[in-house]
Order: sequence, then structure tokens, then C-alpha cells
Amino acid sequence: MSANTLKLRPNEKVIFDKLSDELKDGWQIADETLEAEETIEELKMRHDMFRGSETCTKILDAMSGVKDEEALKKAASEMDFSSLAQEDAAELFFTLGTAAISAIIFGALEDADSDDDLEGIASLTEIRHMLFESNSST
Amino acid sequence: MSTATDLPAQAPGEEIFPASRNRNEFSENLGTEMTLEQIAEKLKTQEGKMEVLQMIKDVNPELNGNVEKAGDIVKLNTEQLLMKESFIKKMLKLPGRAMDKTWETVKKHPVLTAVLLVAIAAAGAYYMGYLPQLGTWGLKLKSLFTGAAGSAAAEGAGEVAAEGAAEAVAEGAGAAAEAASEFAVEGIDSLKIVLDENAVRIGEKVMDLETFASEAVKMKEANPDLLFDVLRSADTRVTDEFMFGDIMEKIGMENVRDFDFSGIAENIK
Repeated sequence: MSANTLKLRPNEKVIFDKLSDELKDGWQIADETLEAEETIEELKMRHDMFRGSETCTKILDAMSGVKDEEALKKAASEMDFSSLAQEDAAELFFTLGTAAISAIIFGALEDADSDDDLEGIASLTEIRHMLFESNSST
Repeated sequence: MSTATDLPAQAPGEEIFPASRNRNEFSENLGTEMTLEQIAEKLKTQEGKMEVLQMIKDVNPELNGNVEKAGDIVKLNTEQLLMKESFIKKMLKLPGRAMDKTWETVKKHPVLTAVLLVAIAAAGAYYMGYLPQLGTWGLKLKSLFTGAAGSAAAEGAGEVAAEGAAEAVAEGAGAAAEAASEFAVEGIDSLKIVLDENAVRIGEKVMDLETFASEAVKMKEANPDLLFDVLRSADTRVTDEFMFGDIMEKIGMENVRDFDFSGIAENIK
């Protein structure tokens, strides 16, 4: 799929349509027609199967100490994904599942104000699409 | 993973049979040299399944009455391992630039992302009742993972932009209604549940919101699973938060977080 294509669900398209014409210029929309979301049992299993690298575990350990919203905000501001390997990213997204990725896409679309933002969202929609495909693969 | 002692550290089922994280562990846990694919193939037939159950018994004679349950865990584990491999293979083909842009986007929404990561870090917090401690974010995430409020996704993310989402969706009601008609969803049994602009269609029946709300109150008492399914279908597929909020209010639940999910999540298939 082209790098300037966003694979969106209907509710996401509504948000995209609200963006300025200038921002939308050059971006293509494709319908995300797959919908093989995970069940709660599958998410539980994915959690049990999770195997992150040391870097990944470090990030998650920082999160495990979070006990309230204040601590959550603090931990969030200190997150650093730049050192994560692509395989770690795959582990994380697989474990989170498609609904969580959709949540990020939705929020990111609402705040999008640059081509860089849309490029990131396009990648996220591609990742979600790949996960939908894998979810339907067995 | 989590090291905090006050967080749930183990998923249900783990004590019955361990979840394998890769092919090596899988072979070790099952005491077999058969591949994942071969086991997956066996699990498709009753005869093959019995063979796998025997393998489980041989390697874990102490399982006794839990062999069937262990078999279910192995089946799910096998499927998820294959899915994971397929996904990782695809992800590794993603250009580095795309990954960089992804992280930049994710980092622009740190709180939402952090909450999602807590779900992993806190060892299955989302189904162990820990998340409410994180306040509204945790509750929304709980809804998200139980699949109950798609708007946990929309709403959770939407909170970042406050009321923008609801407003945008409300303004785009025409488009949302159109989407609704295209997204007729299979409910339980053969029910088709569709939200239109001002009506709810369940199978052949068309109800206005008032009627639906009144039916939903009865449903809440008599068959919470059905109500759960209706709300889940309506919200995740149509994602018209505006309407969803209206319905919830009429049913007498200020927010989906007031809905008691206990025992219901287990029925999601």
C-alpha cells in the first residue's frame, strides 16, 4: 500500500473529513474493511505470551509502578520508544490488539495538524491492517 | 513484566498449563517435536485433539480433571503463536521511517499510550480489576479491553481533544448514519442490530431511542449479556458516541463505566 494512504474505518473517516483541505491534500483514504478484533481470551493469552527485550521490559517496568493518574502522567512524560527494536514494537502492538491501536489512531486523527502526523497515522493504520490480517490467518 | 507485588502477576489458566511464548517453549511444554503447524492441524479433528490431550497428560500427569481445560489453553496458544509469527513477519517489513513516524505519533498521546502499556506491564491488569485505580483512564481502558465501549477507544482518545470527537461525530451525523446502515452487525444468535440516526433496528423491529431505552432497562435485568452485546455492537461498529451517550443516559447508566461487566466478559466470543 502507498505510504500516503490511510486505511480508515467509517468513524475515523468522519474525523479525517474535518481536517483542513490543505492538510488533507495529497493523502488518500482507503476503507479498512477487516474487522477481526481479538476476544478477551485472546488478549489474555497474548499477555501471557508476551516476551519483550530488556529495553522493552525497562519501559514496561516503569509503567508497573503506576498507581494513580498523577503517576501515570509522570511516567507517560518519561517514555522513550526510540530505543525499541522493531520486533519489540511488533510484540507490543500484538499484545495490545487492534482495539487499542484504533484508540491511538482515533486520538491521533483528532489532533493531526501536519503531514508528519498523517504519516504516523498512515503507519498505524497499516500496522492495524496487518494485525487484522494476521488475526484472520488461522 | 510486572515486579510490583500488589499487582496481579498471573493470568487465570497459567497455573493449569503454561502459555508458551515461542516454538521452543511450545515443544518443551508439550514434550513433543511436532511443529506448531502440525499441532494446529491435529486440533482440527476430534481424533487429533485426543492425541494432543494425551500428549498433555503424558507431560503433566498431575493435571487430572483439567486436561480438557489445558487442551483449550494449548489450542488458543497455538493459534496465537501462529498469528504472532505472521504479524511479526509483516511488521519487520515496515520501513524504518514508517516506524519512526509511528512512534512520533504515539508520543503525541503519551497518557493514552501509557495507559495501554500499563495493561501489559501490570500483568493483565485489564481483566484483574486493577485498572480502576487509575481513575477515568483506567476505567476507559477496562471498557476497551472488555470490548464493551468502543468509545473507550474513541472516548479515551477523545478526552485528549476533549469534546471534539463527540462534536465532530455529531456534526457528521449524516455520514455516521450512512456508516450505520452499512454496518449491520450480527448480534447474538441471528439478530441484526443497527443504529440509525434516530432509531435502533434489531432484526425486523425498528424502535425509536425512547422505546429502545425502555426495552434496554428490561434487558438489563433479564439478560445483561444481550444488552452488553447490543451496546458493544452498536458502539464499536457505529461509534456514534453522541447516540451511545444518549442511550446510556436513557438506560440509567451515566457512562458505560457504570455497567457491571462481572461475569459478562467471559461470554464474549
